[in-house]
Amino acid sequence: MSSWTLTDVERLTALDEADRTFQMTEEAFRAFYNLTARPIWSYLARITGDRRVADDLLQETYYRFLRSTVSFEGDDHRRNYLFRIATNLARDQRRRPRVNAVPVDEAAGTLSAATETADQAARRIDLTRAMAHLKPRERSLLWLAYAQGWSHEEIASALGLKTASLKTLLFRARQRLLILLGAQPGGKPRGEQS
Amino acid sequence: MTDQELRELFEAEARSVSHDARVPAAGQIWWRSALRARAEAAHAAARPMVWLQALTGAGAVGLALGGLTLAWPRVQDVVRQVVPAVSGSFLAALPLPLVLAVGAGIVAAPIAFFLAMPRD
Repeated sequence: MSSWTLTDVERLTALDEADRTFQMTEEAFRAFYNLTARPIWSYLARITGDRRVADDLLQETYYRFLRSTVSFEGDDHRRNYLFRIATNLARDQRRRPRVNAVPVDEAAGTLSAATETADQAARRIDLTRAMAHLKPRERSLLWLAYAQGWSHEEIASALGLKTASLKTLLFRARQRLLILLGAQPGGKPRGEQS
Repeated sequence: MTDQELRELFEAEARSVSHDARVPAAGQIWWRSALRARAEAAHAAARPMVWLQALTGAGAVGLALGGLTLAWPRVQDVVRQVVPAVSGSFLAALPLPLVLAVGAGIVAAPIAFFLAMPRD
């Protein structure tokens, strides 16, 4: 990719072609991106634990999404597919050697500093540390279930898992997290309360 | 810790991480993706040409070697006439496979170099 250069004319042509090459128009993409970019970045940052990697993977995620030829049934399906791409990219990223990682700051967040109590901030930091000790798939499961508030079906779709096995995996991940947090694994996981 | 407490903890974390996110503008992502798609299309279009060039190069090497094999006795005569110091026995002893290998290297090396160099 880096060995290829484009003239200005080619750049303009590229943008003309983009509407035909990609599966959605620029206008539709902007709307979709504005809805999903921050959740996707947060997800990538949390499951990779590295801001720089999250930045890189964000671009790659949307590129692969735009180049995909999947026909989507709706916005949820489109969003789930996007998270699936992000999950696969993060998994591939873990297989490569890491260079100069920029970890997601435990105490980051001017918003949190302004609105959170010290206790809430401390609990968030504990969560960050505990998440770092979980397996990548456990992080993905917990983040999608609790931070994104997705149903089992949505998570299964995004991670390419069967719903039946997902319940068990999510339960175990939750138990492990609670042990790491030093809490009693008491309540039932989300989706099993009713 | 109850499920509700855990959910609230994750939601607070999600809000914090999302607030810190410095995501590029949608137009920037679209622009980069469009350029990359075009570059990849150009690269894909050029690939058959590279194969064709490689095939042509291999054919040229084959022809050159075939020609040299057929003309080898004549080449020996010419060398004897041009350079009388070279004895006939030396030329006769020169193994043809070695000559072919050297000839192939001389012809193939520039072609391989040309194919290996990136073209912008």
